[in-house]
Amino acid sequence: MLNFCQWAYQTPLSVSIRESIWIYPILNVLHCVGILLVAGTIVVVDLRLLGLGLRRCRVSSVVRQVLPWTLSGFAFMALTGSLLAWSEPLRLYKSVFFPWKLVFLAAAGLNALCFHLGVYRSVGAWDAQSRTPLRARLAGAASILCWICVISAGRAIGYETL
Amino acid sequence: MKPHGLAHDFPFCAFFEWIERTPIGDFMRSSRIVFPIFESIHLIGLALFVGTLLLTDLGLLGLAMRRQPVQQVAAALSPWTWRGFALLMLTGPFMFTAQAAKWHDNPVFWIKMLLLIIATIFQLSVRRAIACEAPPLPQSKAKLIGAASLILWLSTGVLSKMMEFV
Repeated sequence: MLNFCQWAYQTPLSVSIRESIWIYPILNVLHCVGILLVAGTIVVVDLRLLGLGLRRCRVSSVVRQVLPWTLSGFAFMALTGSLLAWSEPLRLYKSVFFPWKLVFLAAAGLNALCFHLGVYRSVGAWDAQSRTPLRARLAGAASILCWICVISAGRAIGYETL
Repeated sequence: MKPHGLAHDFPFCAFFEWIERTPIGDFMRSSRIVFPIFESIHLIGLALFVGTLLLTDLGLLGLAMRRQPVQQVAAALSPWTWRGFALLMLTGPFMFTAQAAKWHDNPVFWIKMLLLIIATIFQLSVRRAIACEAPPLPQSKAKLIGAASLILWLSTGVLSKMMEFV
């Protein structure tokens, strides 16, 4: 892994992002916009699952209308995030919080996958209920928790002294 | 950081330096983890704020949440938008005290604060009215309000991140 990071560090792409005054801050701003788009829209779905918001809308209707925005935000966040990581692989290699951020990100993804392949398949039976099944409420709570951790770990990376 | 040049003559300068030296400012700088914790809570509030605001604005623009009246979406989401806003307002001023004198010299900070005030007034007046409007707004008017809200808040947010790099 260290070899890979050292190789990435000296690639022209990594060097040019690092040495430009503008590219890094712009990518950083766009990455923040992306992550807020993902976490902000997914939290609306989570609030519906928890029965705390949009109670009068069908669950499937909220999911179908919000998810395209979450997924496009995710693509945006992943692209800008990869470029940022590519520009400072050696710093992130030593970082304590960067692996944690990836773990929480994977957990959020896994939670969403389990929800869609699991309890969401029977959504027809509880679509209009304001009180959703326990498994759906747990998925909503887990999602909020995961994204709080992703954001906090991500912010902590910026303050690590390495 | 000592203010210099023209900025030193600015009337708030001494006030900002005083804020930085208050016990609250000292507390914000007292440990390496205090500031990041406040910033994380700030960002979590921002996610809540942005997500709920964005979906309402996209509803006004007719780009999302089209299957229900936009008033219904606005009414259901606005309590959460304001809860997110409360988290932002509870943490932001504390973060400011940590380096008040530095922000004083940062032009992006002042533009951000100006935009924040304009966006908040807009939110409390024009945009708030849509949640109560009984006959649906004419589409052109709804689109205008949605677009204005998005542009105001997006620029406030982008400037907030940019001011760190100035």
